[in-house]
Amino acid sequence: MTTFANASRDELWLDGVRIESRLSHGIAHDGGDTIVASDDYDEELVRACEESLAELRRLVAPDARVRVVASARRVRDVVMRESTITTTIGGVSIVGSDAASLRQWLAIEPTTEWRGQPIVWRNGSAAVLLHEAIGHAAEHGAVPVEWPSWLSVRDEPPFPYDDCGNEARAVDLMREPPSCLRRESFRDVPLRRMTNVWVRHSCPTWPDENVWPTPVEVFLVAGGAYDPLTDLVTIDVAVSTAGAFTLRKPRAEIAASLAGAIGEPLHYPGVICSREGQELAVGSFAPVLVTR
Amino acid sequence: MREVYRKFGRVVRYEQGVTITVTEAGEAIETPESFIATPIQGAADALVRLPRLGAAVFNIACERLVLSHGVAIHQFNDIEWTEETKRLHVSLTHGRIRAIIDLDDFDFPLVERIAQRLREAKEEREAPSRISVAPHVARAILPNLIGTFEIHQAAGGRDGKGQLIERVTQPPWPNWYRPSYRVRPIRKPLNLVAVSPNTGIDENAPRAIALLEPPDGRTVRVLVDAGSDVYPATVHVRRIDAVAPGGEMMLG
Repeated sequence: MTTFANASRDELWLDGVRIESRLSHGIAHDGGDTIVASDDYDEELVRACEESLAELRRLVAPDARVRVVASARRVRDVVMRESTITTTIGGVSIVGSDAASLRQWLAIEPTTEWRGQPIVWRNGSAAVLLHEAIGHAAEHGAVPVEWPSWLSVRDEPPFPYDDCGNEARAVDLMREPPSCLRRESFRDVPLRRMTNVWVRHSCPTWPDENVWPTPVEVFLVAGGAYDPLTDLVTIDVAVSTAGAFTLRKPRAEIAASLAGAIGEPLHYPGVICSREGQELAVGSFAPVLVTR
Repeated sequence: MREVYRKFGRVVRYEQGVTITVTEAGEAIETPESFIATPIQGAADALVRLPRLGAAVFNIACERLVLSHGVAIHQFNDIEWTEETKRLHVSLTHGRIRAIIDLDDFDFPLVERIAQRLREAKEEREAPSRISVAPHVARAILPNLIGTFEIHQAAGGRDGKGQLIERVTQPPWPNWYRPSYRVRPIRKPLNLVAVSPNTGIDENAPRAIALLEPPDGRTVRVLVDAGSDVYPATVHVRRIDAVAPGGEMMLG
């Protein structure tokens, strides 16, 4: 039997004023296909959350909507901490506290309309595209499609154990699903979920931009989805040189559209991944990538 | 103004092949400026259980099956009330068609009937000009019809602040929706019903028996059972011709 204990403290701040505050704690005892959970108190975990929260509060931007979440969990007697800060301005969010960068991205004026042009996925945003098209597809056991040989997409857990006490193992998401079972809280059923997605490449040359019409540059993504029934990938772009738009394509078309990549992986500011109603932060890193 | 809400609950839920029982209690303190939610001592000493799932074999791909049975004791200032909830969510698939079924009871025979018709589903077609809508499908559409059609709040039960829910025919909606002690309540009409002077449902008309996608405004993609044929169609709600006492709607 595995025991999973967790605690979380979260706060919502609006223009520098705290307007909501929550504490949650509990323990789940797993016994095969049954789980018995209750809101038992674990002092060490709650204290860890309070310490992390104190650090997060120092990062709260004074003129934005900011949600801070400090959580701690204990599995196999190992305490693992996680802190997330989400900053929202004008309805657009980043996972992080860099409100100044968010304002810069929001100031980008659209210069064109989305008409199916090639896309340059800047700022690590390709991690979201491939989180949906490769990561979620792997979680659902989707049939393989052909991805470029220069592409690597891996889930590299930043913690030693998953939420069921299994050793967390890095995996190639283009070949297998994530290794980790995760849960948002003691109230939830563990699901196979991504933890920390790294997109890397061995692309020798940057695609020749001269052969294309002016590409759209994407900076921030509002959300995404993968539908295992239709194999469709949906990406809602929030900030780009074509403004906000929605890209929806079959997974095989996404794979075929990957035209190249350049540089080292960049940390994308934010994926809060929701599946079966459970929201989890997923680390996201990708180089600048082009789809045609 | 300082409002204190407490909830003592126990719920058993089946999802992803796992049965999870959660016992917890919490308190929410709300002022106009802030909302604070914390766990508290106590629990609802209630028996919660799910039906045997041996019966839940629909002979079709079942993408998702979630059942829950919960009992909660609520306290808001000096009002106390008890609530029992049952929920059944099923997502069935046939080819590239997904039927989404949400019920507030464990009505497996209804799910089996939908599964049986879904297995016979053919290509997408244009929606029929007149169609009846099964009560569980109508319930999913009603929130999107407020302001366009006669949609009222029916009396029954208590809201998230312990107030009795009375019949209300138009905004402002006086009641509060509070799905959890951890969530700040919001004003929202509850117990929605469509209203029509006519109650007659044309039993021979094609019938929308399941949602295929969440409604998008007044447009909804449904599984249509036309007797000899079953097919997906996209219905745009233009007119409500009749509403039966059980909630079945006749659209024109």
